[in-house]
Amino acid sequence: MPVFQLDSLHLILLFPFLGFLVNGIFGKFLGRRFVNFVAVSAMVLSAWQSTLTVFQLWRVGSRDGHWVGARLVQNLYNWFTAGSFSVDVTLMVDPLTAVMIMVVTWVGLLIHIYSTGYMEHDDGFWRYFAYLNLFIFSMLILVMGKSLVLMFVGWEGVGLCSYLLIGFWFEDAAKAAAGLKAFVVNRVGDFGFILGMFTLVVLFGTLDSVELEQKVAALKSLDTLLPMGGPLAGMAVGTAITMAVLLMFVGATGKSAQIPLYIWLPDAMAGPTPVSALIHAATMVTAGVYMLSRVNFLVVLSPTAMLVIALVGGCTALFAATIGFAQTDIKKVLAYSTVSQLGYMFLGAGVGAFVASIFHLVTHAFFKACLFLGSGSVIHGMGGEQDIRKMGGLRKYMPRTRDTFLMATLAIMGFPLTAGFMSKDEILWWAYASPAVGSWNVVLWLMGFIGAGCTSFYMWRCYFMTFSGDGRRIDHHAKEHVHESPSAMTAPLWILGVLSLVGGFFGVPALLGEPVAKMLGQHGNAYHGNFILNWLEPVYAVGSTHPLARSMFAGPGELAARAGAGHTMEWVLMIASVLVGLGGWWLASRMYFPEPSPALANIPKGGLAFIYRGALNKWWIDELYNAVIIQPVKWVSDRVLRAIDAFVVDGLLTVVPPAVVKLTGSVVARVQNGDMQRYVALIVLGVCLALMYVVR
Amino acid sequence: MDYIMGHLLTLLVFAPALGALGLFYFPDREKGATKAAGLTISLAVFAVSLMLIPTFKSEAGYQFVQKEVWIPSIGASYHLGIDGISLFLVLLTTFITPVALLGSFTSIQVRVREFVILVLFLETAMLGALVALDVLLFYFFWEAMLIPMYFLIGIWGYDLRVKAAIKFFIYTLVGSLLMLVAIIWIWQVTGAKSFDLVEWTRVVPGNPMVRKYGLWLFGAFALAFAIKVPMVPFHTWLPLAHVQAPTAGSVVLAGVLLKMGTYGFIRFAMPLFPEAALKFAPGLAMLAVVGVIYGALLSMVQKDIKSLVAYSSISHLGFCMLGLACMDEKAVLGSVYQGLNHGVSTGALFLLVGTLYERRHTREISEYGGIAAKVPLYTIVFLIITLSSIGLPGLNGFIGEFLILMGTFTSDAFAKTYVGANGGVWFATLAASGVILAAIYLLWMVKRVFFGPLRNPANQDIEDLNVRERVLYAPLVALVIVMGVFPGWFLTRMAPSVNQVLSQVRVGAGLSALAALPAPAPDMAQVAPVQAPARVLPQADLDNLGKRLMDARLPPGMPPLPLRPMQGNTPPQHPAPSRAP
Repeated sequence: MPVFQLDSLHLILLFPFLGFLVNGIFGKFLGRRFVNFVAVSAMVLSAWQSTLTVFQLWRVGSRDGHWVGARLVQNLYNWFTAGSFSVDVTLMVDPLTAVMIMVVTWVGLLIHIYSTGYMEHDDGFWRYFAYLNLFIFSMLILVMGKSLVLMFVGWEGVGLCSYLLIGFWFEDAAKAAAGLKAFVVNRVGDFGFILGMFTLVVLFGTLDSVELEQKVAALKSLDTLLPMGGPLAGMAVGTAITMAVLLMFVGATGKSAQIPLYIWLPDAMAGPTPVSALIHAATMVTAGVYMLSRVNFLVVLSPTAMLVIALVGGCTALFAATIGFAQTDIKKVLAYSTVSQLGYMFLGAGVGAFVASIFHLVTHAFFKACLFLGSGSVIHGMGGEQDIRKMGGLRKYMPRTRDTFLMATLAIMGFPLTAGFMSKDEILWWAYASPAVGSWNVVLWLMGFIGAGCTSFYMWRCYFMTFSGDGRRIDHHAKEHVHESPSAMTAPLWILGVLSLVGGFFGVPALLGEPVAKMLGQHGNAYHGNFILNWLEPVYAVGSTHPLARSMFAGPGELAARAGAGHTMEWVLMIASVLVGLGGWWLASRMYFPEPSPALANIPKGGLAFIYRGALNKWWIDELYNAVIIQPVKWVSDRVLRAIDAFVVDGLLTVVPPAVVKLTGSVVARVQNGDMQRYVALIVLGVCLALMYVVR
Repeated sequence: MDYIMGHLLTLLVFAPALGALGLFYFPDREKGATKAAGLTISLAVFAVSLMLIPTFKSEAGYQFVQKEVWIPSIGASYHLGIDGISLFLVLLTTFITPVALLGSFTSIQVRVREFVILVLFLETAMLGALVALDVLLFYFFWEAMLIPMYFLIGIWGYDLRVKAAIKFFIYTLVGSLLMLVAIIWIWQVTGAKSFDLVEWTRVVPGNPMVRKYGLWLFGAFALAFAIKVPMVPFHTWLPLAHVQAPTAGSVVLAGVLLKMGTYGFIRFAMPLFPEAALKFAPGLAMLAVVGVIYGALLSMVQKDIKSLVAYSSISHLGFCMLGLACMDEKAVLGSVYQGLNHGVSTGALFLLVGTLYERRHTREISEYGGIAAKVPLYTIVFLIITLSSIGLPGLNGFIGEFLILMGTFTSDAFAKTYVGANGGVWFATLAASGVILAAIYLLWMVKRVFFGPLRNPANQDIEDLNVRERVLYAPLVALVIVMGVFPGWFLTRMAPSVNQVLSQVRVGAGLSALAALPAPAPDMAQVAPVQAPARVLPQADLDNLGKRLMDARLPPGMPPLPLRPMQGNTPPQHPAPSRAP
């Protein structure tokens, strides 16, 4: 891709940063309206600036009417140099980053607007908006950093904001603990991330994503051994790449809440609901998916790593969906749903369908942000109630929230032609069709397929329990003041709801796009309306055309091949996934519509009791970690190490040397006891010995 | 002016002591005036030390050198000079001293005059040790640091102060006496009749006797420095001394004194005995890694905030020592930088603990909880400093830890030792787990102290930072941010000296010398991936663009774009160490 310098890139992230400074330093003394104004206008400017930049990119990246992609860069300064290793603070916008900044700034803007309504009764509003702007700033650093180190800065920065916002109501010990948990679990992931980066430094001597891509493009063989006498001596390059990718994936599992590090995300729902929508659904948690796309050229060189990523993603998608069955907190349902949907994205990235994973990232940002904001609207209207067992019938009281929630629910269940349908179907198809994962493809597809059914079920369960029925489960206190939210909150809901329905049309699968294109008489374009595929393809060009990589990516050529042989199968799979989604809806409606069936009370006693209890208690994973890791470490540190420190280490050094001194002293002192006769005797003895020595 | 610049280091070293002598004439009852005078003196010293910066050149070798005859009969000289390694330690010392004094304005109420005098004498000793280029002179200042510190802990400390002071004294003295023996031995066998470090660095490593007994000599030096650092298992004096010392004592101890250990390694032990240093390297690295994890685990279970910070010091200094042991450019540079970071961050943490203690007279974590709402400003400062200590990117701690871990991971120094070529990989992996633990112990403490409901009624009336404390913490917070965002400014000044020392060590130890890179001057350091002068898109162009957004992609009727693609695939200018084919 050609590179252009654009010295206005920093403006995109400058505005949120200024907003953070103004609100963070002076916010306490400024009025609520002024703080709202600063925060929202920072986002407006940032969103506008990023839109301009993306159009600029679009313009310079086109050649003769064809999109070839481009990179816009701005080098700010050299961050640090140590020997031959150097990190520049360089911002970059390439097609992938362009997608991300659009999502981050526009969805961020909507959520800022929504927040002005949601936080209207909270005294910490200035702190809230300062954190929120800081979050946007960090997220933009994450996606715009050219160097992986800079990306890591954003990576940790968003983690910090997440920590601060989860524990926003810090006077509640549980919420502060949730923030701590999020930070620490993410640190475990970061441990992998930095070791992965170091492995890349050993391999390529740089962490600049563009330089890395160039070096990978120049790789001739994966079997060359790394030179002896250095780190990773004797390891094959391919193995080292697998190691690097897997280590970085550990980082991704932390940030993006995948097995085994997903445990922090459900707890993270302790934060204000717009935060859950922005950080823990739409943007931050997708950073891991973005990261894999950013280093896609490395990922495709390692089939092992790809399989691991796909399996972890598939398992998470399925596993988290089952937990969603039994949750009764509306935000927890959505949290596990997010974990599950992120699993789909990793499934896509793992089978090499990076575009599909990014596409799902975007559509997920629409419908999950809509769902979270909708749940926030419900919670707001219900006066803080989050238990869906105490809701029901809200469609009467909150019609606009209900409408938008319905739209997003349709999208997430995969109702045909909604945004969620387009992207999820693309991932499922590639899980099945990808040559990257060998014969695991059926297993992976099945995981995603069953997960889709589960998703539909728990989402409809949530929807029915919240909005259908006659409202008999709402307690009468809440019933008195339940109300629809102000328009600052419902307007973003409408926008996101509509996007959930139609936002998928910029990535129409070829299967559907091709006939339409034929009908319209457009044959020249191989993408047939799959705009996002066209747009992102240059980002994956090196990886997909690399001679050492297995063919991963659906380029135009492969699309053509797909149009031939795989057509029937693709139709079958698509219809199957639609049917399983409808099946989930049907089951949920039988059990929960209009009111939860009385028979449900028997589940805990019946044959499904174990599954029910497992899902209810999140399969005891938190308890497991606590028993296997946390408690032993605490016990060892507290009981063993402390004793060792106090008695062994300290004891050896403070008891033994003095004892030696004392012993020597007592021996020597005995000689000098003032007894003149003994002195004379010793002198005589000494003289004799000396004489013997001299004479002999 | 030339005279002053030529004797700047002498002025710097003895100015605090002279000021202290003047304070002897202050009446004992004028507590406020004494404190103010002490603060003024130390600030003046700080101002003088800032004069070093503009004249200092980013190149190898000693600068501001001054050499006089001291004791001609044994060849000892009064030889002062600084390089990139000591420059920032000097600045750190002159910065920390006024901070420590200002931080103890209210907590020190008895024997104020003596307190200020001792702190100033301590500053002289520390500065002397940092700028001395004569081994005997260094030893003189090194031991001179002990005495004021001993009294600071022993007189103004808390309940167990006498025990702590004695323990501190004996531990450090034992180590340094062995070093003295080694110094005299070297002086004897080399026959150089000189204690000059520059001379020693040239002749000592190659001397056959020194090479023969190198392990012992290195051991004697290393023990002195390892106790000071302190490395596990010689660390037990530290928590006791830290907890018992008055705030100023802890701040200076953490801020500067511990750095003397790492400084001693890089200035004396490693260049003088490179072969022995290489042999010891795996052992040192192991102890360092043990220190990182051991300190962190113990820190986690402390019930006293100050003791927690003290153990975290052991963990952080473990990183510094690991970096030195790796003999890798990145790691050593990171280690030197991390020393500064630790000085600022941990010094600030001790100050913060002191501030809290002044209000509630307890350091027990369980006494607190939920005070964030009462002391918001204090909480913010505490959180920023904590995050810097955790190594959050953007704040100072990250750069040091990142460079150390990366340097360790990629180090080739262990290839010839018994741990093998992958030793560095394992050390880095283990040490990196300390980064996780740091987040746990520090943020868990933050959570228990600041968050949650305010249960203890004694915390009801706790006050937020007053004006003096705001003045105190502002420069610390600023420094934490500046050092994290613009580390290049510091690193470019350190790098030539670090490279020089490291080249001496590596050549002496039989490792390949580092590539003779030119000093990374600020412009050169920008390994721009784009070489050709690129056309810049003006903002105006971008604004105009908004008007014709929709037809942006349509070629007909479009004016030619005012930009030209740059050569995307130009090779980087640096000889990048690409090890992959």
